[in-house]
This record gives sequence, C-alpha cells and structure tokens, in this order.
Amino acid sequence: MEYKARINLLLPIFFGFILLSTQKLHSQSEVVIKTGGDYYWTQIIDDTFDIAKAEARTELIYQISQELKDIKEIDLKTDVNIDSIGYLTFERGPKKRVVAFVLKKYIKNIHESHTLNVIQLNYTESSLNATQILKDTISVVKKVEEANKTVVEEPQNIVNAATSMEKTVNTSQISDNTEDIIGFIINSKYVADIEKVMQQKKYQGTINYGVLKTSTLYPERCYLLVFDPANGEIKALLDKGSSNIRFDLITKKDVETFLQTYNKMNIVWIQIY
Amino acid sequence: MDTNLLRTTCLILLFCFISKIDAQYATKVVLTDLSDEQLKTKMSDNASKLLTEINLAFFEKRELKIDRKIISPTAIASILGMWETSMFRCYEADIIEKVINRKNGYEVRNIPIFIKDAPKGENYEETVILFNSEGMIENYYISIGTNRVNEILQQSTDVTDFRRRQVVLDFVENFRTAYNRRDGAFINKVFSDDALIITGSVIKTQPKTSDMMSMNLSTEKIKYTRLSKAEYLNGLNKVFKSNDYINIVFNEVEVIKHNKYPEIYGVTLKQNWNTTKYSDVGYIFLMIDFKNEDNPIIHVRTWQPEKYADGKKLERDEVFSLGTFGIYNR
Repeated sequence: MEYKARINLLLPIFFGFILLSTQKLHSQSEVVIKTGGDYYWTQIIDDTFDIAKAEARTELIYQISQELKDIKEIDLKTDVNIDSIGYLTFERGPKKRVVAFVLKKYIKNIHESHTLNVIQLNYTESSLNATQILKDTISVVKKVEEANKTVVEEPQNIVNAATSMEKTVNTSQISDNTEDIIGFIINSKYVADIEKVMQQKKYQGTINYGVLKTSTLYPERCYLLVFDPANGEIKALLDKGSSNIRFDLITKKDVETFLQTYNKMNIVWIQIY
Repeated sequence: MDTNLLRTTCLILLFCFISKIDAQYATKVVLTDLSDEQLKTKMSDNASKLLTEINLAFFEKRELKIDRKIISPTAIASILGMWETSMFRCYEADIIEKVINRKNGYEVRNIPIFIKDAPKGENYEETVILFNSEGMIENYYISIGTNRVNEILQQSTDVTDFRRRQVVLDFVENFRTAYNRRDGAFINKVFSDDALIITGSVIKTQPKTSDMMSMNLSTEKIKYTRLSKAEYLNGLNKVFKSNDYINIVFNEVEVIKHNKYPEIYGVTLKQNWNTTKYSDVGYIFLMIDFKNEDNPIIHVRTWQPEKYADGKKLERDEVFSLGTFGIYNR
C-alpha cells in the first residue's frame, strides 16, 4: 500500500480510538461513597473549600443525628461523636464542591463484635486527597476494632449538632403572655438584660417596638420604656394610656408630662400583640 | 487495501465520532436514597433526558424540544420561561444526588447550570428538579443554595415545622425563579389581593435640633411608600419588558414562624437585584400565609435598602419582621 493510503487509513482510526476512549473520568470514590450504601454522606457547594467543608461536616452530623433518632418529633439536640470524617473536594464552576462522608458501620455498630470490612477506594483524580481519605478510613476501622475488644462507655466528649446552628436566644422561658413580658421588663435592671429577648419576640411577631416618635404614637396600644442612654439602666415602664399622664409600672406611681420628666432619657414604645 | 473496506471503516469511525459529540453533551443523573428502585430509575432517566436535551439545544442554538411524557406543563413553562430570558446548560456530565422526600413527591438539588446571558460572575447557578410521586418532573427552578436550605431546615423545632419550612423554601425558590423568568402571572397569583406592599428609599438625614421634642424623635432616614398590588405588578411588568435579563439572588435567608399563628411565616431575604439597566441590594420581608400549603399567599411584602445614605448598614433590628405588623381578625 502506498504511504499516503496508509496514512489515510490509519489517521481516522487513530483519532477515532482517541475519541472513543476519552471518557470523563468521574471519581470512582464518589460513586462508591454515594451509591454503595455503606456511607453517610452529604454534599455542599460554597465559595471556598474551608467553608464548604465546615458546612458539610455540620450537615453530616445533623443527618446522622436524624437517622439515629427513632422518634416522631425530632429532637435536634442529639449528641453525635464523630472524629473521623472523610472529604472529597471538586471544583464546580467558580465554586467548590465538597462531599463529606463517614462509614455507617462506625456510627451504628460501634459495639459490634464482627470484623469490619474496609472498602478499598480507587482514586483516579489528582484533586482528591487520597492519602488522607485512606488514613481516615483506616483509623476509623481501627477505632471500631479496638472498641470491640473492650467494653466502651458512651463517649464523654460530645458535639452538639444543634448548638452551632442556633443563632437565636432561647425565649421559651418568657411566654408571649402580656403579663409575663411586662413582668420580665419590670424585673430587669438594664436594657441589655432584655434586649435579646425583645428582639426575638419581635422577629416572631409577638411584639413590636421602636424609638418614640409622637407623630406615630398610638398611646392606647403602647407601653413606654424609659432608660438612661449613658448605661442603659431602666428608669420607668409607663403603662398604655392616652393622655400625658401615665402610670409607671415599676414605681407604681403616676407620671405627669412624661416627655418633660424624662427629657434626658431614651424612650422606646412597645406594643404587645 | 480494498477501497470499499477503507470507506466503510471511515464511515464507522465518523459515526462513532458524531455519537461521541452527542454523548459529550449528555448529562447522566444517578439518584440515591430511594427504596423504590423502579421509581428511582424512572426519575434518574427523566432527569437525564431533560438535562441532555437542554445541553443539546444550547449547543445547537435552537429551541428546546422537551419530551412531554416525562415532564408536567408547569415545569415546561418554567423551563421555557428561563430559556427565553437566557439559554442555559448543565455543565457536568455525571451527577449523583440524593432524592429528598417532600409533600406529594420528591426533589433533587444541586443540579449545576451555566446561564449564557447572565452578567459575568453570575453565570453559575444551582437548580432543583421536583418530581411527583410517579417520577414525572413537576417543576424546575433555581435554588437559593443547598447550604442555606440546610441551615433553615436544621432550625426546625419539630416534624411539622420541618415540613412547613420545606414548603417555605420551595415557595421562596420558585418565587425567585419567577423573577428570573419574568413570570408576572405567578407573582400575581401568590400575592394576596389586599397585600401590604411597602418600598423604602433612602433620603438624607435631618439635622438634629436641641429642643425636647426633637430629641425624642427618630430621624427619618428611609422613606416608605405603600403600593397596592396592582401598582406593584404594573411597575414590575414594566421592568420585565424593559430589561433583557433579570437576575435576583438571595444571599441571606431567614425563616421565622409566627409565635401566635403557626401557619404564618416571616421570611427575610437579602436580595441582590440585577437587571441590564439597574442593580441594588436590599432586604425583602415577606409575610406568607401557609394556611393552604398548596397555595401560599403573601400578605406583606416590603423592601428596604441595605444601607442608609451615609453608607451605614441597616441593623437587623431595623429590618421589618413579623412583629412590625399586627395581625387582626384572623
């Protein structure tokens, strides 16, 4: 065959094989972890790996805590001890994708006597921290094996999955009842003592408040909280009223011309629904 | 070598090449965490078909030809609405995701898309596919971000609250996507006819005086304007018509249940509003009534700028919340 003819034959075959064999290499590890059924896993996408890892860890702990609780009403204060979580990291567009995972058997069967099978993972992508993942997995296995040899009490070092997500003050001790709210304010000395509770109740729709502005005042609906701007000390809590005379719920006395009386103080109106 | 054999070989290779081009734009979706294998396979196949068709249409610069056997009319309308604003594609060939249970169906999150005509830096979004209980695609919209969703769901106090928060988030994501696809009809549907709609605009602060009354007066820094539903929607439709691209992003999302009326939720969103002609950042507050969970209604919608005229950011306390509005005669 002529040289040119050979090239004409071989070139398309060559490129054809190149194309046919070019497959997107999806992480076999990811496939094993996500579809194998042996891992708890979660996935987070965020701006940086550090942020995504932290969120993935929190979400993973939360998910595990839900699965281990077998009650109708979810109690989010379950304590889960996890000190060996693996991570897979990928780029996703401009963001970072993180898969956090842990062996189910480590969590559920920590006291079982049978030998744990280690799942061998094949790492095909350079983005994976393969060595660390294997180390984590092996250390998990070792911990389980050691636990099986001795009687192990419940771990003392616990992580409360709900705590890190709680951003609000617990206001359950102060009911939404008007008397309780008024009582709470009367028994507090400084605005700082009541601020967070009042904020939360406002967010939850129980009360409203704002800086005193006479043009928008609805006196029949609002209490007036008077405090010293220098240190936040509560000076008076004036009852609802429609005239210039109001009853101070703290001193139990009438206050006339309260705007003049408290002209150096800050006044906040409070409406309780 | 025989010419015919050579020709045949080349044709076979050419066929493989073309198939490979198509395969390169295919997206394969694998789903987990659903015990019904048949249903799971059906959902995987439907999601794969949808995303692959979107990718092919993107590459071929043509209209979408979605198989109506796998998808509801609502979902088609949503996707076509997004497509009309801008073509988009799924840029990952393999996706493995969990199936999440929701009321009357399932959802699959973290489907990545690239939006062609979005402003630079806003091209990449995550989307959600909703399925009904038979595995048919029921809806499709842009997500607010799985991490935000998780954060809100983790604040649930009980199973009922968890389920309602799912509905809230579903609503918020659909609501956000309605702006992206310029769906005035949907926005009209979800606002109560007597909704309270308030828009704030920043004004210069008044100098403080020394008299006693003024010392107790708050300084007017934001001017609030009340709009009727019709006024608001008219203004919105004008924006939809005059802008080629609209993108709103919710950077912060807070969901709070009303203490006295548990079917009412306050949703506070920090919104980045971007159109071809205008951008701003502000806080949206929605008071949403979930008495009828299948048709939630917005009773209050407010917007406040993120900052005052002097650049100072609004304190959390200054942003409208459930307590700002009294609920009477319920």
